[in-house]
Amino acid sequence: MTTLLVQVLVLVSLAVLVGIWALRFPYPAFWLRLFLPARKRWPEREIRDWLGNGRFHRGFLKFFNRDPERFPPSEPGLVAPADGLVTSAEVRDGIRYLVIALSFWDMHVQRSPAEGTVVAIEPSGDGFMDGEGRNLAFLREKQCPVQTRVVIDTAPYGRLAVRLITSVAARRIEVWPGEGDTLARGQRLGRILLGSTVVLEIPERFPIFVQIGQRVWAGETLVTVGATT
Amino acid sequence: MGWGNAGYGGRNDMMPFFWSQGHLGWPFFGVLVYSVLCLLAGDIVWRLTPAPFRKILGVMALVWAAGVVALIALR
Repeated sequence: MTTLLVQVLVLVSLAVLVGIWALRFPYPAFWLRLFLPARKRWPEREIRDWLGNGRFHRGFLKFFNRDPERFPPSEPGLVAPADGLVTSAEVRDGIRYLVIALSFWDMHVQRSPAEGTVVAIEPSGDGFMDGEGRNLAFLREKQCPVQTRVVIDTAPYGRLAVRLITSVAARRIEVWPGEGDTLARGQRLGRILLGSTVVLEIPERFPIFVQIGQRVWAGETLVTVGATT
Repeated sequence: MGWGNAGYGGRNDMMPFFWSQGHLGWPFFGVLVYSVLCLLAGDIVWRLTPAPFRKILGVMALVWAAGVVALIALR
């Protein structure tokens, strides 16, 4: 009798697992997520569904809001302001725009590329025009409803800017330092909530050595050689 | 272990496979558990590998069949 009870218990447990699995399919059931890497654990289609109905999986939110320590390299040079893929490095009017695209699975806390002082925090609205009249449509082929540009005055590089751009789905940007605050290299700068793009604006005279398609990590990946001036 | 009596003849010979000594026959129970585990393992393989669905299905069907044959052979 005991053997039968154990057998029935095992089979009922398996039936429950299969039932949950079938109900969640094609998305992974909660227990299946334990065995999957992040990108498979929360598939893009499922995240887009959550964006539609606003009901996010708690595990995903915890994963998305992670804020790990980062350790800037000892070599001089600007460090990447965000985790993600370098998608563009175009030069316009003497400024190089290093575009870093963040995926849903990237860490979304941005970091200062260099030591310096925050001289301006410029939120801007719809469209591709920035506060200085430049058309930034080349950055991404999509509307950028909310952007915030953090201008940092650095001794060796002059003025740099980190532009945080959200996607249509996100719309929220947090910038933690205020104007006049000093930043250490690799210090936390802000966060784009479910955002998608970070642009580092560097004077053209500083060559970069990251390549299009390269993955970079905020506060750790060197994007330029050290400035000598 | 109570795997039942091997038999190849009539209907009564199959009974120990399904039911034996007051509980489910161990081969039958093993096949059920193994089938569920195969299904779930197949799902994980499908998610983690770029292999086409049909190929994974075919391989998993072969693995399942081989396991079932092995379990029945253990009777």
